[in-house]
Amino acid sequence: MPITRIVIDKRGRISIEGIGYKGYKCIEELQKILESLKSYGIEVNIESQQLKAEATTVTIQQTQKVVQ
Amino acid sequence: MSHWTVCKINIKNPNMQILRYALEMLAKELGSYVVENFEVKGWNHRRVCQFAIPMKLPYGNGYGIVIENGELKVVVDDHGAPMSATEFANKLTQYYMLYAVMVASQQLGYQVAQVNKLESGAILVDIITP
Repeated sequence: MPITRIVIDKRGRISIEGIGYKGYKCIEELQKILESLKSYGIEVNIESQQLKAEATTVTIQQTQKVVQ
Repeated sequence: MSHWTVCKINIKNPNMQILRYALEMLAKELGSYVVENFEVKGWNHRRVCQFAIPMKLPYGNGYGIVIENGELKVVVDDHGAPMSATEFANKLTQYYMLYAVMVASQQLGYQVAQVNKLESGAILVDIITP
């Protein structure tokens, strides 16, 4: 099962990591969580976002299947 | 010399239930409890606060929370206090975030797999998504 790992530091800043996701599903889940947090008065400004190799790899494989 | 401090917190229009949970967690750490509509006093200052954690401080009687125009502020005379206003604001933000993440996850139908406090003082939350 994919996991979204959220680490809240001592100043209340968060970092989020998607574990075990395929493709860009983790970005979709991240957006859902951030939207939900907005309703509790938390506006998250994304300072940086890095995609893991696995996200890119899976996407390329999926594209290759479409081409075949 | 005392330090009557008002410190803004970066949470707008907070959810009162989540705020209360976060304050209770903080109050427990300070060996106190949460009250409502309490007058926080300090050196030459006093202010009625929606929420407060009463406790004997060198120059004050506790930590207060004021919500003005949706903005959250900590008020305290923190000279010699166990936690400065900034530390209190940071911890409250951290605990508010924790509860907000947990409530948001449940509302989205996700399962919170674990919550751990790390050595750095950060809090780790793992959420299982479908």
